[in-house]
Amino acid sequence: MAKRSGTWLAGLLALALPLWGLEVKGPAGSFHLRDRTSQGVRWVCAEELARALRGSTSKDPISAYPVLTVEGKRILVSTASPMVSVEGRIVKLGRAAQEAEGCLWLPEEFLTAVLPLVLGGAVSVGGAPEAVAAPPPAREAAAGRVTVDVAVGSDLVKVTLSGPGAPQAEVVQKGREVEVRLAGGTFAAPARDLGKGIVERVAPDQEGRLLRIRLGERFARLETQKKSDLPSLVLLLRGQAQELPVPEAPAVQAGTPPEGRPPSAAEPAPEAPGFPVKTPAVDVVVIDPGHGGSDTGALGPQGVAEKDLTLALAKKLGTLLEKKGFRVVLTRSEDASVPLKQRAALANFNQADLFLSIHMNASPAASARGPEVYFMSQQATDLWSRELADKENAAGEGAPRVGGLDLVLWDLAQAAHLQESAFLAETIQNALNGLMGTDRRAVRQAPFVVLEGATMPAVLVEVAFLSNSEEFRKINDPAFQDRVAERLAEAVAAFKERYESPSAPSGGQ
Amino acid sequence: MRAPRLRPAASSLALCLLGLLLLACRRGEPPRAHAEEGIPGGAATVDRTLLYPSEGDLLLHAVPVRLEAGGTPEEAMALVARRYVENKPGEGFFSPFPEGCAVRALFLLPGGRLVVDLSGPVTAGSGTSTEALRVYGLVDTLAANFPEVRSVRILVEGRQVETLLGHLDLSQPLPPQREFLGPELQASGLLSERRSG
Repeated sequence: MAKRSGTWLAGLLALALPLWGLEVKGPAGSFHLRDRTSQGVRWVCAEELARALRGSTSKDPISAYPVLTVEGKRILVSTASPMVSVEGRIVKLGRAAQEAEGCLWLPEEFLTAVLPLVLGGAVSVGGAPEAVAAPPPAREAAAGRVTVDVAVGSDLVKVTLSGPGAPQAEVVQKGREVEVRLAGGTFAAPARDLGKGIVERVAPDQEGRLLRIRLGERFARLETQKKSDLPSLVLLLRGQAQELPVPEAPAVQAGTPPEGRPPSAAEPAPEAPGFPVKTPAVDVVVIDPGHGGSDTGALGPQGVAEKDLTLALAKKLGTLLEKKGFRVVLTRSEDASVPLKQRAALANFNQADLFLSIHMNASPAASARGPEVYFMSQQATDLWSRELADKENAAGEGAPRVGGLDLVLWDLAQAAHLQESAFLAETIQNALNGLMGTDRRAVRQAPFVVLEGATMPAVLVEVAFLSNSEEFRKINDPAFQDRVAERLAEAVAAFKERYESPSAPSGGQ
Repeated sequence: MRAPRLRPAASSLALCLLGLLLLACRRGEPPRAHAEEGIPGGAATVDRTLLYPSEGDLLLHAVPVRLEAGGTPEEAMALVARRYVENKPGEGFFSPFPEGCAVRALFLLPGGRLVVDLSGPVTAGSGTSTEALRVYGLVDTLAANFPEVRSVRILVEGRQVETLLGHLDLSQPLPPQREFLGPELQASGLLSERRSG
């Protein structure tokens, strides 16, 4: 009897499936996927697609962008750009992927344009759009429904409630729990378990009127923010500042993430948030003491090496920032060689919010003096984009790749932070001008290897010219180094204040 | 008897203005024949503008020179590159290139992509300022004199290098950049047409 009903059920499913979702036909056979329609486009869930293809999802350990692995091939996806990278080959889609409801939603075009590259044959898509009017994958809450986005940072958990009635929600902290009660409407969100840390669980009650946020050991305080132009409420649940850690090993390998951090790409955890969401918090600062090991950098008049001065200054700055509540990681804590690209990778691995590369300058012109602050060059990016386009046009089905850092990684990661980098550079330049007695106004852009892979605001600071005897004498003095470190720490704090402010151009909410 | 020395700032300004004037006059004109010491007799010469950093502001300023015209665009570019890299500018300016550095080869690829192969000493020295002026002094000089140059890839001893002095990424061809131009060159619009090109 049981066998007969099972057969009957399977037959019914076989009949029903073609009416539900997308039917995907490819070299490996056919399967069905749940789909949603939004903005005139059908979308499928990346995790479900990966399961259907016996693949997996994870995060790129360098860039922290979502990765689908299918047939042993990596597909790097971004929510910021309609481009994906298939084993380094760039594919442009009509729409960027979107994150919502615990899924990474891929446009239908992904199936026909990207999958053939990993499956080795054409892929076709059929089936009627899902009949039930489903909520769109973007943050377009249906009337009366309040969506809940949870983003986990190093020392901050950000819960964003979007939808009618969200700004009027009542927020009350009761012991180790925060309750958010809607006056009308319901929460449209599944329960989220975040493990140990600042917040352990975010879950609506049965009726969907109350959202319970269970606080973890590291919870310190709750802040709320409202946007004047959007029906949203942001809850910032801040964690206690952590101890200044021993710098991580430079080699960025899949392994144990820093203590107290959310799981990284190297260890996808089913209960962790699916994909990283950039929060407006500035909590983790990676300081890069320039040069090191056999690379001495510039040499001062007495043979004092740039690598030693940058390390001394970085340590002083790290201590000051730690006192201000930042978590600080140094790319090196001793006289060691660290490849340039690994330094930015270390910042990405630690999910840094800021990257400061500290250097000392030199020039054949003995009179050269004053601090110089640089950030990455957009112009160089533009050229690389054109180069890529040229290669694509010329090579057709070839596999374009822009050096060791493909366009997706670069364009999506660092370019998004150019504005913040410019502000940070100007803040530091002004802070150091006052100390060094210079009036240099312009910060400059150039394609620095150490900055180009960083997926956060990043600057390179040339504190002083070692080739200038007066500046060398100053910066070689530990007391003056303290003052430089203080100015740099103040600049970082000013950046944090600006970046986290609700009116920040692209940082705050 | 030595002529009285001009103050460096005044001489820099005069040279810059002269350079700008020459640059403006030269545009669109074919090379003209000049009698010039050091240039093979009868060879056509042309006025070029080299962009050297001044000791005062560490920015690039125009230094006019007269060079052999060269038979092909590549030859002309090589003459400019060699003059820039292997010679010293006048008072008030400095060469960002170290002694002994030479241009080994130069190739112009389709699309205005220029490849310049430099000798090993180019990796001597230190400092972001030195490196940036070394790289963009050459790139901007070539782009300023040859509008068809869209980008410059720098090789060292025939090989691609990550950086010259540990900072700037040389794994990619570099477009000209106005960041390091002096204010008078910025105001003149030099290289601005290449920004989006």
